[in-house]
Amino acid sequence: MTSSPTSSAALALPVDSIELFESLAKEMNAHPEIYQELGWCDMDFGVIMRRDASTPFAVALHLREYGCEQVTLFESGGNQHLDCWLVGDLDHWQAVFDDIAENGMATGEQTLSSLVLLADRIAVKGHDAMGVDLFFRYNQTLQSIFDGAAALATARQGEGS
Amino acid sequence: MGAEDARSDLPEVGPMGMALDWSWLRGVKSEWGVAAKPSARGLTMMDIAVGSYGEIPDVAPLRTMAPRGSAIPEGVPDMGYLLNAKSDVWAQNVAELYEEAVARQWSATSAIPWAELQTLDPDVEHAMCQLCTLLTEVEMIAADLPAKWLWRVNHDFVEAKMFLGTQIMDEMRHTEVFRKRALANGGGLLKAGKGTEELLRTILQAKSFTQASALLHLLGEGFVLDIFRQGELISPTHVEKKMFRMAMQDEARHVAYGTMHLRQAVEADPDVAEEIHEALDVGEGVIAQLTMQPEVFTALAVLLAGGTANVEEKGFPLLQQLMAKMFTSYLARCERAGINRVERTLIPLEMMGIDRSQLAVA
Repeated sequence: MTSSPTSSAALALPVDSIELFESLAKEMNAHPEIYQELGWCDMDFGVIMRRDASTPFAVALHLREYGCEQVTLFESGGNQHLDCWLVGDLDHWQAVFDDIAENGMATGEQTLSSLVLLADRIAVKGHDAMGVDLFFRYNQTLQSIFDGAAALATARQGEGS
Repeated sequence: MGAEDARSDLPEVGPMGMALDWSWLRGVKSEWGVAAKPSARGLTMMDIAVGSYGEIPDVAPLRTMAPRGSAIPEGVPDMGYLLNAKSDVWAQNVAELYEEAVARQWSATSAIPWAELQTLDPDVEHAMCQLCTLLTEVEMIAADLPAKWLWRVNHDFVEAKMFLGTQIMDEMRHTEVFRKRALANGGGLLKAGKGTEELLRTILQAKSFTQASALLHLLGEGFVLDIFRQGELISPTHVEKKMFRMAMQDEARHVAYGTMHLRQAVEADPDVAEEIHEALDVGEGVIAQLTMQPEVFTALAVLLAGGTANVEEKGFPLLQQLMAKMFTSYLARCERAGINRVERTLIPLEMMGIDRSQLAVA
């Protein structure tokens, strides 16, 4: 299931940009009340977007306690420092963020857990099973971070009006 | 402060005539001056594993409730613990998992946005309620079983006991949340399962904790973890999605403990592997029956199809695909625990479209 964004709720930032993930980190850090309730989350989590005729976009969120300490770019293959990462084509990632922007949160098959279960668009990878485990043990935290994109879409609409 | 620091200034006899013991004031055998330092999260169980306090014995020397690292007087009563070897219950990540469990507790009452439940197509509501009936039925086993064994675990492995305590609380909450979901939208509890009860009895009657852990953590909870993942996928609204995600986080922790515990047990004594295999030989047969149980299969298929209209075209094929993934991930978990089941498993892999030779290669 893919969703088309409405003009009133689309992300202004490209999904394959560090600025988007920095904004997600900022959004996370601005809402400790959400993440403290979910419990601490210590992990180095990556997102890899494969792009046609271009190097993949690869970004890491360094999550500590109840927030995101740092957002860094890494070269595909240079993921030794990560616990686990999600990898998929850019258009699938675009669909993930479009769905969040449109609905205020991930819906249907566009949640991280569902995508990974179906594994036909986005897959979870890690160096070992212990690292991959963290994706499931911290899943609600990760989903909440991504759902933060909805607030960015709304805010940008507000800024532009 | 050493034992040589005699306290001759203190009385030897108390006001009611009893002899007084001031030896604790000299530190007895404690590591006076070894201070555990809090880390960023606070003072964790990992932080206090300092000096001899952090040394976990391979075999507990006594069977008492005396705290590990304390000075234990002669004649302390024997508690009759049965699990006295580290490999009986330990997992290398158990202290971290305990801390994580404590930090990530949640409330089934307030963490789920119950007020946002929506009226669903009656067939879908029935299917969700049938799934919740099953989950309400099975979740308490993962509390009852650790509770059955908890008092038999030597107190020297207190971190493992504490983790199992969190698991009990987690499973109470899962029982609560699925019961609440069944009752919250007008559907109610539907059909309990005979096959389900047989699986639960098999787990509960395991002869050793390690066999019980194989049946519960590796097999039972591993499958339930996959059902939660499927539940998240097929949830009709964000309310159910959050319910399954929150439960999934807890269940993944339990599976992580069980997997690492079994690995530890097999590494300490390779003969334990056969004991685990024997338990899984029985458990796999029962769980295969459970997944094929008509009321479970049909409810999941309806949810996957989004209703009864497309259950044959969409629900059944997708469920079959997900079940193949479920059994594949179970075999991968076994491998990770040091138990290779690919050749021995009694699960009808070929019938489920799983290529055994590919698993062996993997």
